[in-house]
Amino acid sequence: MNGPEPLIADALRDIAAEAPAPRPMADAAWQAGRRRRWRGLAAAASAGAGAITTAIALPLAVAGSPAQPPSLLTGPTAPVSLHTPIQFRQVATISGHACLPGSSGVPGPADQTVRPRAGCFHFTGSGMTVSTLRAAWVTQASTGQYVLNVRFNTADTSRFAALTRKLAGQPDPRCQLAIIIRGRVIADPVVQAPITVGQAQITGFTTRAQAESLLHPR
Amino acid sequence: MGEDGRWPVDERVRQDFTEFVTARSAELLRLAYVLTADRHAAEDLLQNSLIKAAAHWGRIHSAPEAYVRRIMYREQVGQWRSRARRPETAMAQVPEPCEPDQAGTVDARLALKDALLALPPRKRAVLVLRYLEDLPEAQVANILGCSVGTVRSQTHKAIAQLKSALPSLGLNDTEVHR
Repeated sequence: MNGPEPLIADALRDIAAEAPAPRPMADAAWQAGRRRRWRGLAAAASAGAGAITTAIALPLAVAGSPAQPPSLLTGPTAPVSLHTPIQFRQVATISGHACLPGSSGVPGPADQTVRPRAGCFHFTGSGMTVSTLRAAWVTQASTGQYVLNVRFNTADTSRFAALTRKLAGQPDPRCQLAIIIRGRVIADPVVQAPITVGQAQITGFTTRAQAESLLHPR
Repeated sequence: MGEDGRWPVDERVRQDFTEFVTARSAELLRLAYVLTADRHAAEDLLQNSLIKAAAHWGRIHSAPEAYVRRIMYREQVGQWRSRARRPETAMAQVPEPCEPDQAGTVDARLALKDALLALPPRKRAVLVLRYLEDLPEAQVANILGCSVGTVRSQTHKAIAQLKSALPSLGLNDTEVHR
C-alpha cells in the first residue's frame, strides 16, 4: 500500500464529506431547463422564422448544385433540388433500444453521444417529404454557430405550417418534429408554435463547412 | 399553445426528475464540492448541471446519474478553460510544509487534503476521476472530452504539485505515471 492513489482517494473522500447539505433545487432546475430547451425556437420565431435545432451535421447531399458562389455565405441562393429528400414526421414514441428487425421504426442519430438513449423512433401521421427547396443558405448566429436556412416552396410551406400547427402544444414527445434523412432521424426538435413563414433554420453547426456540406454533392 | 413556453409537459417526466434530484442531490453535491472546493461554486455547478439535464430529461432513460455527473465534469473543465477568474481559490490556510517526522497520519492526511484543495480545478477533476471514481485513463479522457495524453500529463503534473507541497508524504513519481 505505498502508491499515492489510496492516500489521494482518502483525502478526496474527506473533502467530499465536508460538502454542505443540499438545498431543494429540483423545481427551479426543471423550470430553467425547460426554458432553455425552448429558447432557440423562441429566438428564431421572433426573427420571423421557425427554428429547427440540431446538434449534428446532416448527412445530406444536394444534386446539381453548382460550385458555391460567395453569395451562399451571405444570402439566398437559387432553388435547389435535394439529392436526398428530407422527411419531417411527428414523433409518437422514442425507445432507448435499437429498432428491431422488421420494425416500422426509424433509428436515431448514429452518434449516440449526440442524442443518448434515442435508439428507435416511431411516428404518428404521415408527415411530409421535401425534395426541392426554394432556397438554402448558411449564416452565422450571434452565438458563433452556423445555421442552415431553408425556404420551402409554396406547397411545402402550407404543408409545413399544417404539420407544425398539429405538433405545437402537444405533450412531449408528440411536440417533437423528427427530421429524417437517409432512413435516420438526425434531429427531433420541439415545435413551440406553428411555423407558417415557410422558412426554417437548422442550427447547431460548429463550422461553416458542416453546414455547407448539405448544399454540396458528396 | 406555448407562446410563453407553457403547455402540457409530460408530468411523469417532471416527477421522475424531481425524484432523482431529491434522492441524489446530496451525493452529487459532494462531487461538486470536491471539484470546486467552494460551497457556493459547488451549488452553482450542481444547479447549472441539473438545468442542462432537465432540458433533455425525457430522453434520458437509463443511468441518469452518470449523465448528470458527466455534465458536471464538463462544466467544471469548461470553466477552468474559459476563464482565469478564480486563479487561486480562496484558501485561507496555505498548506503547511509537513514536518519531516511525519508525526501522525492524521496530520499528513489533512495536509494532503489542503494540497488537493489548492490544485487548479482541472487537475483536481482528473484526480477525482482517476482515484476517487477509480476510472481508467481512457474513460477519464472520454468524460472530460480530452485526450488520454492530456489525462496523463494532468495527472502527472497534479501529483508533482502535491509532492512538492508535501515532500514528507512520499508520493512516488514512478508509481504515479503510467
